[in-house]
Amino acid sequence: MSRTLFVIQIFQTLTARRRPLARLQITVLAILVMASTACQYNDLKSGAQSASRPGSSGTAPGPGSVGASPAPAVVDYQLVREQILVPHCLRCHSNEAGGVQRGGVALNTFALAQPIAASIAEQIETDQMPLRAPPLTGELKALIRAWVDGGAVEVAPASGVRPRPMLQPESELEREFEVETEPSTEAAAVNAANRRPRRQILEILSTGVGRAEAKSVVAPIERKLGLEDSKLEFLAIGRPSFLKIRGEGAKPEAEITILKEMIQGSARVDLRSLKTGIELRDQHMHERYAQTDKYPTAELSFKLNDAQLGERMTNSKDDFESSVTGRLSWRERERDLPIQLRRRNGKMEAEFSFLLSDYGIDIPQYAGIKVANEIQVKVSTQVRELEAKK
Amino acid sequence: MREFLRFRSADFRIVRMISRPILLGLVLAIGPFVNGTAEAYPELTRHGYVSCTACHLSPAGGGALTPYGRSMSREILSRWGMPQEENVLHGLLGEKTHQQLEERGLRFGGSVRGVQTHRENSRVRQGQFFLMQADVELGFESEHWVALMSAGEIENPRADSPRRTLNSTEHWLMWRQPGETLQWGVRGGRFPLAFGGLQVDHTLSVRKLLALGFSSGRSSLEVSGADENQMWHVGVTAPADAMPTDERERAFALRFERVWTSNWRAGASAWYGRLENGSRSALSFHALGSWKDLPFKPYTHFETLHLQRLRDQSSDVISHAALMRNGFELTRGLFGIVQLQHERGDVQLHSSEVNRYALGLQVFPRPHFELYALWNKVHRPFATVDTWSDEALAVLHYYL
Repeated sequence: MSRTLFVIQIFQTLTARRRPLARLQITVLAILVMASTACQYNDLKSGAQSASRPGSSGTAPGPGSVGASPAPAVVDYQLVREQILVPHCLRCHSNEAGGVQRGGVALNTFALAQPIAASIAEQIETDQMPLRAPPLTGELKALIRAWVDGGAVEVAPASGVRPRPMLQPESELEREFEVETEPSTEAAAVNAANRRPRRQILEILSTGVGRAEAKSVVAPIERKLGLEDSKLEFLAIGRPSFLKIRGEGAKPEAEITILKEMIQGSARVDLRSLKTGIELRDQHMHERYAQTDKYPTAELSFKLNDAQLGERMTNSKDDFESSVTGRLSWRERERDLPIQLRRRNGKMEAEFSFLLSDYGIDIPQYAGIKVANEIQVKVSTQVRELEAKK
Repeated sequence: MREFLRFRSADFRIVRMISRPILLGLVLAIGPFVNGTAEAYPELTRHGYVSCTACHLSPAGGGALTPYGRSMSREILSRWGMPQEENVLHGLLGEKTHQQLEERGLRFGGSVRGVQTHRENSRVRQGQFFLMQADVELGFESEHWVALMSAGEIENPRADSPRRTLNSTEHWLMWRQPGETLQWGVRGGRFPLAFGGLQVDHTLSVRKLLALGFSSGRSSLEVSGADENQMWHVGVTAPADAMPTDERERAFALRFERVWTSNWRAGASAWYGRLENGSRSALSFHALGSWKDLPFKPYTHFETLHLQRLRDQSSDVISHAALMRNGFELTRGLFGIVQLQHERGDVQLHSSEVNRYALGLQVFPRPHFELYALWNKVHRPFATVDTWSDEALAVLHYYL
């Protein structure tokens, strides 16, 4: 916002005493300058991800940019809970009914998390947590650091507007964008100013590609991607002897679409094909627990405002890691899940875990072996382009 | 080489020997009253267990089975099997009674092992059958407590007079703490300390060198633990007055094992013992695992035991031994075995070197039964006569 105002001031200065044609030329020039500075602005915002960390210099705030100060002032427990604790921590650290409290640590309430906020941040920053999962992105590490440095508050004092979730309908995104970019009233301007820090945080959180940056990504082609050489595996731990139950199934059928500014997709798996290597166990799994006759398929869908992810999936040869939020639909229930995506040695891998109790499944027990509530799933595949159209 | 390839007709006599009616009758007569372990390790590694306690009461494996282990003996080990056949007395007690016993924590085990051996070279041809083991085990298991007692007869064919007295090779009590991320426990009583690859075949060089076969249990105290990826044991053992002087040993043993990808594991063990007139120390490294995606599901067990050092007032002997057992499941319940063993009782004495190249078969036809036959071509490279000889054994094992 401060850069936009700065460019407008230059424009007004230059056009004050010029003829119409000159004013038109200068206007075009100014628009180009604005466009170029807007691009630069997005890059700086990407840089601001690290600028919010202690000791980083960041960008100097300009006129009217009071509300655009770095994230720490507005990061509160609710935001940390939504973006970090729920998707990455609470599966193992929750004292709610049906939850797991590994290491005696629970983080599902502010009262539980606040006293050990510094420890949480340290363990996340040093990649000690989350266990058996890829480290959190730099953006999320910056967020937890900002929360701690801001006093680990429960509710940010100036926050009147809750941040939007990472996954929300496109129409809602557009409404928010319109309100912010075209403030027609003073109230709307104030509202937008208050919202600005939130937007910065959200842009930090959306895997390095904020909405404004996504706007700048030119992806006029709608492309469809498919999976081949797919392999689905799951791992369940049987306690108390830590029996590792590994299962495999038929390849998931998937379709991924890259639209202008977002990538969305779904994968459907025929659960009747799942096998664990022991016939009796398979029989129990299908008949007693998963009830695959009644619920033969499960579907995982996701939607993300990151068109570049599709590019990285298909065209790039480089290894990368990213995280998206997906939704697993099974047994007439739906749950949002964090999915870790990575390319390793040319192969795409997606990992996520879910709780049996979330899908109304009794914890499997057999002859003294009790399966843990959490099931880890891994899909390895090759992504290839099916079609592209203007 | 020609001598190596020249199989004698007497080798095939083993097959006839193990079918002796006396052996079958003996096993069938005693079988219903005794019990034991299926010796399924390590061919079951592909099924993803970390701790032995999934299938056995003992944290070091072997012996009485848990309900899960008993179930798996039919589901994944035996070629054929009817429902409930894996239960005690082949399910004759009825499912309801069996369930009631299991719910009360009672566990039953025990084994009868009849062994036919054969040894032949240019100077001697020997064959011997003996009942190697006949014992019963009674166990109890609750969330925090496990207890086991065995009673039976162990015959030592090399002893001047075979032991015919009723004895107990194992009796112990264990307190354990199950947890979400760690299970650990303390065990005290009479049992063999965990050491090496835990391959229970006591005929192996790596076990013989340390005298870790049957009836090697001593009064011991052990702390053991396991989590999702590792298992460890720390134990001490004390001598008993009834033991022969040269076997009285006060020992300390460490064992650690790490699991990778649930199919592969590797570990190391250390042993230090003080004998009446000296001391011995030993190190062992082992690795085992399986390729579950290949045809015939091959598995490998590699174990090397080296630097066992026996010292007393007059000698200082270092010995080493190594084992590689490769197996593959031809079909469920039928395993082929290719095994290499190397041992040198004294590293400075060439003539003490012995290499054994073996082919074998292991069959689990139905729950409670195991047939095991191994044929060794024995090579003593520094022997003056009989550089090559034949050794074979066939075991019929019945477990309750």
